[in-house]
Amino acid sequence: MFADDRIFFWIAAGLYTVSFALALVTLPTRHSVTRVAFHTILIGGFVFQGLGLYVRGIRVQAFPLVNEFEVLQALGWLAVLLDLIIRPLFKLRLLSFFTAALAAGLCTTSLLVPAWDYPPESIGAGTPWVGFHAALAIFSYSVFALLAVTSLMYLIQHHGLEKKRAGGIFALLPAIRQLEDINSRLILLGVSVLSVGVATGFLNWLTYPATVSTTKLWIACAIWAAYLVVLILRLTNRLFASRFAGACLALFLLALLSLWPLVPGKKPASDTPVKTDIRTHGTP
Amino acid sequence: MALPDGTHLFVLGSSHHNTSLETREQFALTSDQLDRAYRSIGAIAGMREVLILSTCNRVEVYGLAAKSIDHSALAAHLAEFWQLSPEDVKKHSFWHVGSDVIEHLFEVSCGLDSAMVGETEILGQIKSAYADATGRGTLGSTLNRIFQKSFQAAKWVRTHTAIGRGQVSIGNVAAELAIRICGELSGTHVLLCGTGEVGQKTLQSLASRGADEISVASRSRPRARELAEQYRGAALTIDDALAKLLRIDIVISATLSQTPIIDYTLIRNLMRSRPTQPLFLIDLAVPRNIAPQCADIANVYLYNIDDLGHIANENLNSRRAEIDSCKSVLKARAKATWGNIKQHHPLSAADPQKPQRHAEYNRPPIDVFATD
Repeated sequence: MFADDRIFFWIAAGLYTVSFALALVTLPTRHSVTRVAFHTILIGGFVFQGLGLYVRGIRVQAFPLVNEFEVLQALGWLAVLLDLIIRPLFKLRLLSFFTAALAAGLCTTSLLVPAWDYPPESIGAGTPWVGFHAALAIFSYSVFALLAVTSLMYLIQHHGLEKKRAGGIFALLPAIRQLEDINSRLILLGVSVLSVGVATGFLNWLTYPATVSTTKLWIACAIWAAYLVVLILRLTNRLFASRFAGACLALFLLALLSLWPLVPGKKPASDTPVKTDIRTHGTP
Repeated sequence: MALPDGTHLFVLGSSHHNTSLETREQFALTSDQLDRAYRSIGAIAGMREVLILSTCNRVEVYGLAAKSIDHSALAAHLAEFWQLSPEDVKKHSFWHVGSDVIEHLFEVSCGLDSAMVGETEILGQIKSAYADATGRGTLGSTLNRIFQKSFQAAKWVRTHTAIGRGQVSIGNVAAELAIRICGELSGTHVLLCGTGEVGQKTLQSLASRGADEISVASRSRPRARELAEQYRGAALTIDDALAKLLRIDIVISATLSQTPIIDYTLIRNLMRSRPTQPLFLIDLAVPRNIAPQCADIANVYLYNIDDLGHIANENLNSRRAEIDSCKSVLKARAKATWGNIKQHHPLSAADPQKPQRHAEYNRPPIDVFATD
């Protein structure tokens, strides 16, 4: 347990939650002052979470990704980072609102389960490719997290249009066409990054087969293949609209669940652990 | 409720309140059918005056007739005309007599009974129906009086109450939905089928929000061209327009066609060619122009006149107090008008000008319903 940096994560979780609650309460008014306040608090949460990751990174001398707690924190932080880049670029209304909810959820959940935050089992030698693999994998997962958010937004808007509902949140959400477009771009980006990540991980596995369990390898490949299939179906216009959004959302939930067997702090299921730098094994 | 001569004032109607869109489609009257309906109803023995109001949301027969003509009798007659069972017509229609007729007419003319409460288009439709009935010679002093009074009531409500405030038009609702589906409307291709008033207003709302690629299709090419020129768009025939749906994002359909002009197969085949591009179909016609099954196709969003009306009325609760206040005023005015009609009836003992009125009253009523 790292008691000193957790305070930053708690502050970040609090700020994310406050920003989400503020946006939820003031959603109908959409006043510019509350919008500024919301973004200030959200960025505050992002800064504190970044500080937490930085302090922990200094302590362990690597990007902290060894246990479930760190992976979820990194995922939330990167999702907010992507939101801050994508929202103004594509003028996606309410994206930050949903991202704040996601970040608050990931951050708070990971803090509420102390068992998820454990120190690495061993320290040893590793290769830079493992670190590269981990960075790409967690980045692609954050892209998929944002894709899940935009997919959820699509499904809400679609539901409103199907059920002939107007006003409220439906009037504030981006258009169906805009969400479909951003979803297509995000899955392309996510799969591209994850493909490189999986490839580097695979090369590392070929070099050091004992460092990665077969189960872990299969799960990582299954998640990658599932996203690849969805991307291909989307590009060939065989999966689109609400089914595509539903598939993206469901896949992200699966990907989240897959983190548990994939997190490097766990002992490999079938292989004997090798004395190596577990910290640089990274995520999926 | 009867007048001194034994006649009674009645209305038999079917509106969006008591019937579904499917049923209203069966009751809808084209101009030819309206002509036949006037002749058919006028031929009923004991019928003295009649006016038929037919809009997309209602068909109502106002009349003054012998008391023997009641709900069942008129429903049976209309059932034959519509080729439906008398039970069905009776089940899907309402019946008012006496002052309730006037109260109902006042509420209709003021837009209180409309699908979108407070709308003003209904007043124009009532005026057209009144002018039509006057031209046919089917109005006598009683219906004439109550319709004139209804126009005054509508004017009073517009001037003295805030019933229209906060009211959302069909065009605005359609434009907001279009933005939720297509996003920015600039560059969005809109097709209007039919050149009726509601369709035009909806097109205007979309154009005011940036829709700039506009095509107008109509059976009448000159009218389509005239309207298309206003938006620097293209004028097409309906068949040409349907053949070019591939590029269209929003279709507004408001033609007088009795059968759907856009069917399921057409849209299914169209969406196979452009599966990821959403299509917004707005069906403002009754009977509907677009097959309802089109809504089952992925990326197709179909809204009919009732759907838009429900959305437009979502803010109704905030206007409830104003509506109730209007209704109570109209009720009092209706009672006063009814009292006046009874008092000034040619056979009324209380009428000081009885001899003059009696002479006018004695004209043969059936003449106005002369059949071919």
